[in-house]
Amino acid sequence: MISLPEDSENLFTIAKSGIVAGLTFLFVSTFVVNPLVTNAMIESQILSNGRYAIVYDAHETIGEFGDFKATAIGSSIIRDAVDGLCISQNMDSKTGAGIFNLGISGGNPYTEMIQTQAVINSKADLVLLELGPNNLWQFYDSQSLDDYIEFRFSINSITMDHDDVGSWTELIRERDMPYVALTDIQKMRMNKIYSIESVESTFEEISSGLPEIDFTRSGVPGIGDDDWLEYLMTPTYKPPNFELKSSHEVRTYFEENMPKLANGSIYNPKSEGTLNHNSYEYILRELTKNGIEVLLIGIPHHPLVYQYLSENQLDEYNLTFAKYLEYDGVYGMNMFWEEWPEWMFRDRNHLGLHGREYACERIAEAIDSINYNQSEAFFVQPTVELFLEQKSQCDGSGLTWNVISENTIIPAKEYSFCSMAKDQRLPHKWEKGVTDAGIRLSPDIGLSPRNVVDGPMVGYNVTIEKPGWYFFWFETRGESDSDDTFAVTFERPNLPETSFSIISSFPQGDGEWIWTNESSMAPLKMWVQDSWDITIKIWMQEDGVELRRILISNEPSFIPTEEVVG
Amino acid sequence: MSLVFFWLASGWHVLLLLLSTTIDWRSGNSIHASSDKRVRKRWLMISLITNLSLLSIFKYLDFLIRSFNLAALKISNSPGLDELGLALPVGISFYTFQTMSYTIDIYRRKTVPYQSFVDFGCYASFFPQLVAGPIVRADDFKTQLDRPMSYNSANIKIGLTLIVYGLFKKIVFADNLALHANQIFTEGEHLGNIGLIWWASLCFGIQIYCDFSAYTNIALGSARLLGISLPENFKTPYAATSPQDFWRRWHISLSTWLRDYLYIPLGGSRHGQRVMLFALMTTMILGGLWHGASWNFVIWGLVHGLLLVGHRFLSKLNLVEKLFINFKTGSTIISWIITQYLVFLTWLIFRIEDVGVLFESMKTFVGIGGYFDFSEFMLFLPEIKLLTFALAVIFIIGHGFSGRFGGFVYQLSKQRSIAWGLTVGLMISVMYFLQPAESVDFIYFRF
Repeated sequence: MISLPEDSENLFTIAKSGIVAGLTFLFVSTFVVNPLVTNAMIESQILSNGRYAIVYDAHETIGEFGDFKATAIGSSIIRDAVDGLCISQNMDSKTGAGIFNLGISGGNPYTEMIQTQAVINSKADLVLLELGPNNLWQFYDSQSLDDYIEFRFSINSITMDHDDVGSWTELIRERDMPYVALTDIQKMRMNKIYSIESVESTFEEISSGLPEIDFTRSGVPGIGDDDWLEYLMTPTYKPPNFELKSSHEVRTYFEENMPKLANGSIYNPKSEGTLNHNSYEYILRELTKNGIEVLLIGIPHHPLVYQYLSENQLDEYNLTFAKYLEYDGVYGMNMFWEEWPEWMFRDRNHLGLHGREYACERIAEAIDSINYNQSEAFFVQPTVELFLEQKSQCDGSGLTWNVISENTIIPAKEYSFCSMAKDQRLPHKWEKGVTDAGIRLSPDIGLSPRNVVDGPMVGYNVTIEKPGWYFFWFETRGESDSDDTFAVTFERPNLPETSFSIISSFPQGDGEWIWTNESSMAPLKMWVQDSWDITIKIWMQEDGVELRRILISNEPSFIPTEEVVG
Repeated sequence: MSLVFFWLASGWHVLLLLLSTTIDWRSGNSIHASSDKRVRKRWLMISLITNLSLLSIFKYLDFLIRSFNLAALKISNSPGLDELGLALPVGISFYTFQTMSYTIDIYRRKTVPYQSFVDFGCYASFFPQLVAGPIVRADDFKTQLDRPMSYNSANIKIGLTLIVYGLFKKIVFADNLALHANQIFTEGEHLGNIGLIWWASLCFGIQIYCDFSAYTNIALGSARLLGISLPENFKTPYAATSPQDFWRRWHISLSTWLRDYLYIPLGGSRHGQRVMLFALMTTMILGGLWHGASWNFVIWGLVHGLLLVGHRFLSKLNLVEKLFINFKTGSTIISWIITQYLVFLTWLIFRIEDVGVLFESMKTFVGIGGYFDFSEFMLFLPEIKLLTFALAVIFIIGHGFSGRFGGFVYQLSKQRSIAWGLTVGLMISVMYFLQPAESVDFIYFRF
């Protein structure tokens, strides 16, 4: 039985001990657990994506950014549409501008509203605020929606500072209040939800001996790391999706999903009175009141979406957009009604690489015009037709090449005919004159059509007069490390197409031209019975490859070199 | 106050407590007042029958019906009896044993009755230990009640320390390790993986100790705040170097109760080996059954009885005696390893109710047909692994050391206010932030 001298303690010492215990608890909670939880959220796999936890640290970084700064806020639609580094480089009005992308998966005006005060504190010059029909739905009873709101509010509550709390608290629904931490005690409660996983993740980090943050674990670099600022401007985008599907697959997707989606809340927006509208109005009011200009951005959806929407279905979206433009300091760039080509999208409503590149130019122009105080009308002019027009053009020389000598050389750029990619979503094509006297598959972004026959093609009509063996050589070079290949087919009138021969043996990146006839089907050769008209077709397999000349020889031992051919 | 507490926890079952208290009060007084042996015996029997009947009806009747039905089904395929489905009154195993000891002690003239019914009622239903012990002897309690209550600050500090320490063990250790034990035993998969079975057994061993001793700490602490000192129930049981040593350290209030009121009356060790064997095995089987109306508790008691018997015989062998004399340290370490190996083996019996899972687990635990697959081990455990491993290691180290320095509670209690406050604040922080989302009831609440 434990005993202590009765006079060893008195009520004063007990009270003192209690106070020390309380202070210790507060200290541990504030200075140990909170940073531990926040770091673990960003750096480990506690959250499906560490991006959810960086909002307030991002605003803090933005606040420290010296030059012109704009912050994009919204859902994954704006996240996938904004390439901050690209926009910054394309802007004329400000050099060294910081265009920060804080778009986040599932974000809606109600959930994003709570960062308004943090935006004000960061002294951003401009906010790029997503405003699409998908942001204007009436709140409904849904477990998954409630879960998402709980999740976002909890995470944001843990990571926000006291001075990030603004009058947005008045708009929070009663049912969501338990997930918003306004006091230290409430914050402690939020930390508790993730504390065990955070400790576990810290143990994991220690045990794996990671000296630095493993970027791939959460998809987010550590705060203040070398990649941090760049990530805030240009986040890690999702890999291609529709870009890798055939046209048929994409259409099937829309046929299966769009009828239901078109009747859903995201394509049936309201014009006022929803929680989302209230949140928008709060954001616009607060930002403009604090001298921050706002550019409302409507990002287009995949062109096939529009076929499923009835006339006037999105009128209330238009009304809302127009209404919000009436705020002083609010500009609009509604690209939603522009029909961007299919190949710009990675899925139904997210831009892919090409879409992002185009959006970059457009947004840069828009920011410039705000900075130059140009007319607001500028922002609604679509210029996208250029892409469609450009894509449909492909003309060949119409020439037919006669093989009469031992070695016949055909300049690659003099192709007889050509075709664009059969899949109109792909912008790739053989470009003339890009390199010295050759043609090049462009653009080189590492993407390839899944099927060779979907890719762009150049064809050469050749007449071979004398019977015998003929050997085909291609003078080529590649740029990237491993993804430059093309395919060759030979055709004769009334005969089926021969098998594809894939050529992929190029010097890697040193710019040297080489002659090759090695393919996946062994050296390229053909037995000609008598006078034959044949067609050589060259298909893009992977882009970036360049082709300068084609040589047809009837000498089995002949190997073309720079010295011999010239 | 105790009755209100009990009523809130157990509803109308408070009447059973009142019945038991009233009859034992009356029996105690009558036994004490009478010099007629038959009268004294009759009152003792009334007390014992009342308490054992309550226990039998509410705790064991359905178990007996179930067992009968099973046997009847095997023998004659006849329809069984309906179970009563009575809810187990909270703490019935504890308060019936406690009040029985009161009447038995008066009968044995080891103590005298309480002078007031209120005092006795307070003893019988003292809320801090009513639900899960420790089982307090009437005399110990009475002595303290008879003294003027001393609400001194030292008691408050010790009481608070005990409560915080108890909560710490329960929340941080027991509840976190329970998740691992539960996952392995409940899923019943990969039972051939020796790593998983050993780990599950270790987790459950730590869980049950931290769970039960935590409750005891909280009970002791709460009582201390009221100026009452209750007896210790545990003395680092996993430091035991023999089965006998284990029972001197584990649930001490029950093991001494069983010794004083069952083992010795049945003959004890002073009437030859046969009587000793009978007394020991009966005590341990009934002790096992006390824990719950289930065959696995009976087997658990039986196996512990066999271990005690085995230990008695082994320790008397010349070779063993010589080993302990000549190689004391080495022999002690080996006997500690063997003892703990067997104790943790018996935890499987205690924990696993499904016979198939139990059989497979025990086979694997002793290495029959088992294998070790680390990937499977890591894959099958719950998400929080490293923290749980760390907790197990901390427990083992802490358990090993705590006995050497008079125990953690003593060491902490004697600290000055700032050091005490810092440590307690830290413990509260760890408790708060490492509390698993799923809370686990105190295991011994079921008994």
